[in-house]
Amino acid sequence: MTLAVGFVGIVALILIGVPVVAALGTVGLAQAWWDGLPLSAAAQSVYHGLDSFTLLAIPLFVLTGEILHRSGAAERLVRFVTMLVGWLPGGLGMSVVASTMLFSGLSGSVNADAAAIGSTMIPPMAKAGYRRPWAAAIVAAASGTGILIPPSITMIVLGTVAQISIRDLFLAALIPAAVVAVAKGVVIYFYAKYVEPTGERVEVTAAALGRAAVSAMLPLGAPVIILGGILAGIFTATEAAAVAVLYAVLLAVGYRSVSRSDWGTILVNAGRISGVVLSLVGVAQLLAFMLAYDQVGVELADWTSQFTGNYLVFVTILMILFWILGALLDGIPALVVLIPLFLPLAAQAGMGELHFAIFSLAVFGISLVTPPLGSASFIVTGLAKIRVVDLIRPMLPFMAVMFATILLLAYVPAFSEWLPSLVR
Amino acid sequence: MRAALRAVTLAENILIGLLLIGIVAVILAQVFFRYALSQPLSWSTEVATGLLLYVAFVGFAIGVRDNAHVTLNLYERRLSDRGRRVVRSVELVFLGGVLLALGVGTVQYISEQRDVTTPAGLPLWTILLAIPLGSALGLLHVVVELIAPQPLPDEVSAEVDLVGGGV
Amino acid sequence: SRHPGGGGGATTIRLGDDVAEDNPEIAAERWFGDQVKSLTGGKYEVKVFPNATLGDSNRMNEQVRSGTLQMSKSLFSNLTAFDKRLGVLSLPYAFAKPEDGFTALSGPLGDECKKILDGVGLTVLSWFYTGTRNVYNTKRPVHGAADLKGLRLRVPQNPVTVDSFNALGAQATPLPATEIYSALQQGVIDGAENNPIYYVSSKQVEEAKHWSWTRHQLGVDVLMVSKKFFAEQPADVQDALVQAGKLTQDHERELWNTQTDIFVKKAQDAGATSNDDVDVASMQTALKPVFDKYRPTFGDLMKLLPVA
Ligand code: NA
Ligand code: NA
Repeated sequence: MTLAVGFVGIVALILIGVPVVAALGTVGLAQAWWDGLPLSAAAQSVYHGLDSFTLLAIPLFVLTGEILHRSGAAERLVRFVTMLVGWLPGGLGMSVVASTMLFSGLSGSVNADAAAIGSTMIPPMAKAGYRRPWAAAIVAAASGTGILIPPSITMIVLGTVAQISIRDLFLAALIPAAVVAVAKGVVIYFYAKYVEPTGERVEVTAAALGRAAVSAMLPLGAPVIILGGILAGIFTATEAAAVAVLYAVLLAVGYRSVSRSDWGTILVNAGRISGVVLSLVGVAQLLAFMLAYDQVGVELADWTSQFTGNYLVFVTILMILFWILGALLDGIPALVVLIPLFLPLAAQAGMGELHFAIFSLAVFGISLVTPPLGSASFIVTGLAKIRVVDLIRPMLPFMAVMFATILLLAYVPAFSEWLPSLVR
Repeated sequence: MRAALRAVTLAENILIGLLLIGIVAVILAQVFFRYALSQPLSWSTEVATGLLLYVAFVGFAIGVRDNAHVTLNLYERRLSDRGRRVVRSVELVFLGGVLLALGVGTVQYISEQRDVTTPAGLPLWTILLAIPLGSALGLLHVVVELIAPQPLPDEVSAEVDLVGGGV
Repeated sequence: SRHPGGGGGATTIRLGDDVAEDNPEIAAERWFGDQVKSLTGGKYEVKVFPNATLGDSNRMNEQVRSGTLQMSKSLFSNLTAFDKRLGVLSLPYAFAKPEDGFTALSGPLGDECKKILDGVGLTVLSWFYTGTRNVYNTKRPVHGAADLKGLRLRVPQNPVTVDSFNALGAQATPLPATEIYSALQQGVIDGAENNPIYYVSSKQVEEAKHWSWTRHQLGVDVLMVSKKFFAEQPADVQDALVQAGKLTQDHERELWNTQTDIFVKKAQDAGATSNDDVDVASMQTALKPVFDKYRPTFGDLMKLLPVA
């Protein structure tokens, strides 16, 4: 069976509505059968794909996100940020971008960011006169950048697959994430003034701001503890995730906002989400193994290597391929399969591994929010009660900004490589 | 049958909760022993990664049960109830097929590598057992859903607890 | 194709390794492939998969046992997954010098290990030499056991090595190999132990500048063919594989020694300092209890060690 048949098979299955994990699994198993491998070899791929200490960060950061969401810590962040920028034209939209940056500093999942911030912010935005598709687009666009903000689960998986230091990845992504967030704020500001007039009425008094700041103080401490502990060498990225859980539990207990049955819900939700994500990682590893076993990587490398001489063409091919596959396969499985294949080619084209990693992550971030395929686009449209197709047009200005960042990332290595180089 | 199913659901929920708590506890102990007591544990990473496989596969089954696996619902809303039922059955058949293959494959795998131990001396099969366990639970949900389907939800829910992907 | 290697004329032997493309062992394995090709008159072809493309070492070894992969090369110590007695070569200072190790592996000790591995479905073709293992760290040169005191030292997830470094006064911290670089960089660990080639090619030299020639362990890797696959081949092919393995064993040793000199130089250029004045006796004294503890586990194999 050739790569093309397998790929068409996966796409066809996903398009008819087969869950991504089953589509990948079916094609991976079919390929194993075709190559004469027993089922035990397929099972072995899945097991060893998940036998990784680094991947433990997934359930832990999912759990942290769930606890902070349900304990009201996320809301405290949003309230504080709204006080800071909410009174500007487009201010509510800007506070969505800023709160998403903060919240994704705790949660690790683009979809969790979209759901947590979207459910809190879409209703007030609608009340302030934002058209629903515009409000939904702002939330989607903001969460697409969450992938670049540590702790990002996608980033952790990428670090595992490509064997790049998680700490370096965390640091390398910070500046691009901040730049793209500011750019989105600017888009929102100009749209509020000239295209999508909104009527924010956020009353800010010194006392209210003070109260909001105090209330958000402890949740704001979580990212500091996570990054600080990693940078200080107290714990590894995976261990940081367990410390984050502990911190979130202490917050929730302190706030007395989580009931006994809520704790059950939190655990089951975190378990379910982790199971869904981890099974995708495991099954994608089976597919990645089959690609290696059949030396498809070598063939693909041969084909693509003709372009590595022309940086512009190479980067464009990479961007389009990652973007579409990322949307279709939901980020992580695409990454598990694609990164090992393209890492050596990127090196040939003159892209350092850290540079390539951040570039790829930024593209996958766009994938997840691209309507009508990206999974976060479903979430925001569900929350805003609009059709997925209605999200396409309001997303265009944000897509433009995000792709502009990608070009910047592609052409200016220092954009991603400078910050980690400082702490060497 | 509904009562039996409720019992399974409860058991799965308790199990996944305990697994997560176990992982948190083991990793916190690892940090504490290394950083505070300067006595690094030799078994903790292995035990935690072993528990991870259980979270993955018990969570896989719970994902089947709660219809939470990442799916591209491009056209389902426009289908009749009958049409949605058909699509759901197709989904379930594929999920079931993959679960069955992985479950059977792991049983074979265990029988081939019966004598293998992890470096800390844990028999490999105690970890691998997660896969047939999760497969069996997942298959149970597939079969139940095929013969006695739950009522279809009104629309695709966007609640965070139904969101598995996008990480 | 429904079967590996079908299609063309030659039978394909897939050989998986977890070391990088530029490791001398990969060159040795490609050379092994050339020998197999010429000894079988072109009927067999060896495809080398470096860089853990087919999975990590444990995974490949399992595949070789079950016959889904024809060959792999593995750290000797990883093979304790199949039989605890094989941990015997992880005992520090099991051999006074590498030559003693080579002699033992060509004699009764090697034969006994081959027999054990054969019993779990792995047929040994060559013992590869990967230099000696040595301590490197971010804090200070190690001249003897006293300098190891309190160093958080990464060790493989192997109980013998964990116990040994704890006995030497270090804090043995078992971590997967993939985590070492990050952990060194972050300061979660102070150092690790390995051969010069790994030290440089894994970039760990950038973080841990103190290299000390402790030579506490003989690096032995094993080139193996699936017993199942081997048994299915005609006698002349079996002979060819065995013969190619023998030739490769010597060839690999030369390649390794040449490369070691180059990499030691690279480590110097990268700013590493080294010391070759380690008080081995102080280490051996501290290790006595570990030898005693494992005597029952390793049984007869331990008696075959020249120093025990
Ligand atoms: Na994040
Ligand atoms: Na998608």
